[in-house]
Amino acid sequence: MAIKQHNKKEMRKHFIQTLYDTLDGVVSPTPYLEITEGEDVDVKFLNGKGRLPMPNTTEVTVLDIDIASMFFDDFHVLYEGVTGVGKTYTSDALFNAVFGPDGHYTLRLSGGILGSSALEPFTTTVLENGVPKTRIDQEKCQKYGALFIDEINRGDSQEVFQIVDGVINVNGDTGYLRIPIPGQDGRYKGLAILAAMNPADAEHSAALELDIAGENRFLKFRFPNGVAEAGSSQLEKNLAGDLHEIFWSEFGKRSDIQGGWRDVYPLVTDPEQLSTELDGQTREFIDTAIGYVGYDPKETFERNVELLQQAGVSPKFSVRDDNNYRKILDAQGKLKHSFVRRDLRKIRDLSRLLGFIKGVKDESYDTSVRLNDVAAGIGVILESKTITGTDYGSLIALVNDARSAYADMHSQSGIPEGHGLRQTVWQGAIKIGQEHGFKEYLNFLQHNMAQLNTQTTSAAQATMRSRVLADLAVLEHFSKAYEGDVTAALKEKGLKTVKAFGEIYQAKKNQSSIYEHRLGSILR
Amino acid sequence: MTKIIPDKDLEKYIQAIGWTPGQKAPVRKPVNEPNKTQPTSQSIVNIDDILKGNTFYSEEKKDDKYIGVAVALQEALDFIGTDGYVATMPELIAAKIKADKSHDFWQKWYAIHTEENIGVDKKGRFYTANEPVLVLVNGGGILTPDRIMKAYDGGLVNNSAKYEFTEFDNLLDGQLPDGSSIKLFSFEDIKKGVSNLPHRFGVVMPYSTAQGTESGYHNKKAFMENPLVIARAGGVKNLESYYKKAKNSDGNLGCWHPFNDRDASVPQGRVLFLNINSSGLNGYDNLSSDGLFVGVAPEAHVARKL
Repeated sequence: MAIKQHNKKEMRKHFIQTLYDTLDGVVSPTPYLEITEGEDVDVKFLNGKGRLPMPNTTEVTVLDIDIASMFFDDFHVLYEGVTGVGKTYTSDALFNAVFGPDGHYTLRLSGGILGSSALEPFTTTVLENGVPKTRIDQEKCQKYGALFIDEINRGDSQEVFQIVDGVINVNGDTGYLRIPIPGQDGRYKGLAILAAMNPADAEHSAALELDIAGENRFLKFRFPNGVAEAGSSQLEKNLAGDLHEIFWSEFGKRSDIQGGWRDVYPLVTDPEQLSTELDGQTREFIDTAIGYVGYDPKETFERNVELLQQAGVSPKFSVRDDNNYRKILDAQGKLKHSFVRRDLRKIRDLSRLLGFIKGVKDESYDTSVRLNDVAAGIGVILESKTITGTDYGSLIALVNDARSAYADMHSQSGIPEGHGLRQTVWQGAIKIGQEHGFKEYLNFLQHNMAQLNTQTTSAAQATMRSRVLADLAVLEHFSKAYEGDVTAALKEKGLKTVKAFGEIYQAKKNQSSIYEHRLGSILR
Repeated sequence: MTKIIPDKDLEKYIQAIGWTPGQKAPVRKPVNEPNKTQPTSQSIVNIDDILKGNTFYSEEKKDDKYIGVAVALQEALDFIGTDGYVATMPELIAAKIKADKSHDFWQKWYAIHTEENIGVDKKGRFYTANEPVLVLVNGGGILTPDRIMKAYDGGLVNNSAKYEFTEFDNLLDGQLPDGSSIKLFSFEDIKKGVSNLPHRFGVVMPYSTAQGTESGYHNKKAFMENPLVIARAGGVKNLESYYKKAKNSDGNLGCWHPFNDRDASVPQGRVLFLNINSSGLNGYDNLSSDGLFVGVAPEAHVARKL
């Protein structure tokens, strides 16, 4: 196999394009989300409805999400939707094409005492001293490339989680659900997992809400019902022919790479090619936006102001108690609960997924995550938190407000693209400090804070600006508290100062939780 | 992993925000600063380092008036950087006890990085409300070189720097104009003894107590029990040793102050001096004076560790 010589991006491109073409006659595109980018970003949940393509607009379908998710090993997709909308069909088609009928497994869980074991596909029963015993079958653990878990909320959650985590334990044996990446000693590609569940409501009485441990392991989407939109066009879609053969044969022609799925798939979808980190700009947007979209902006503002006042800074702006503020609270009233810790990871993962999909759609196959991907990610997570039956347009409007306010603050400050404002101020201060010493380092921080401390015109601006300012105030406090260490770091040359600063942070962050919360995404 | 912003982008940013080195930081409300790692008597401050410390002298004048205290203090502070220290009254007393009589410390007078401020404590933080108090600050308080220069320019009051009411009031809250904070002890605590006193700290006593002490020479008992002596020395610990070494042939040692005719309703302050031999603790001299401070650079304690 001449795979090593191939550019990863090219392989990715051929793999994805071939997959779409193969499934073209099989899966009807079900619109899920639309992202429009211009001066503002707009995110709309399509719920199966099609829209006329407009400039700067990306439509994300269920198949897009499924295909993209195969490239990420650190999270999986879970669809929630009523029976018959195509959850199983879509995943079957995809997995058949890539892994063939023997390379993937559909696990359908059912409740009750006779319920099936999620571990069954990976175990075997042997007789030991005449007694039947369940043992892990190591061969089966590496047999499958993908797993579809249907009705995931009806099985033994502990067993399901073992599978999702890729490590199973049965009667003292351990098995790893993964396939080796050829030519990469000791590296493996995890099992691609798609899961589905019926909504936990009166109509589906055996289905339960996933517990927190379950929620943590999946990115959950409401599966849209595209039947009304697709209409009779779906009649021609069917799982006919050997999709697996068609797919790999076509892929071989386009990419000039020959081999079975075990040889090629792990290389093409090697998760190492995708960064797990977000850049400073997108991290800063998350830090500043969630306090506005997911919480009472006034409370967020006041929490930041407390920190600022401790630092002797009086904000020259505020969140006014006006009609606009009332509208924000009304919109937030549709949330069952606000952001929790796991949501931050989900926003990151979803942003990465959407960034990936956009790269596919615009054919750049770029996988970087941009501000709009994060905005869309926050919007999707917010949607998952709404009270059933509410519309979510007003919540997306909040995300867009936040996106717009952040973009204004970022562009007004002349911050280089891809970097956060706080990060730029900090690194700018380091540069100044290296040349002129600690006092000027501090002066620079304070000067930047003064420049940011200006009037605002919206609650989003006030809330988000208060966060950035408060974080810089914490940085100032940290620098003063460890003045000796920071002074020594500033005497280093070039990147060594940043490294030394990172070491100070690591050594001292436990002195106060505020250091980790406010400085982690700047200094780490 | 921290993403590094290219130098050219940083330069562009720095230029765009219009910052230049030396630019004054925006004025802020005084706040409680983080507890910096202050040099302490027990750890970083070392008497042997002080004995070998650098001296900074200035007899510079401006409009025929001495500005040497401000100039010499500035030079000393520049020398010590962020990790060194300029000797305070308790520290220099301890150094004199250890020094041979031939050491410069016994041959010259020294200005001390200790200031004495008087004013009224309207809130009664330490004693009763509206009571005049004396606040001693070791290791740097209101009287920075810039502030002393400002006092010279504005005209001294009773040969002292005249303060804004808020400057003195904030000091009583432990807050200094440069934004840093300081721990203040009551005279009673200091007299009882505070272990591990930091290099930088303050002592508050009723002004009437300070006024009630005699300015002049004292015999051993009077000196050892003198509240102003105890406050200036940061406790009674070193007093006997210092007295023994510094007293004159009559068994007397000096402690001087100008408080008899000073009205604390006008907040004001000046630095202390430590005089030659038995002349002792001097709070009587004009702020407009020549200055001679002792500074210890951070290298001294690094070298000691090695």
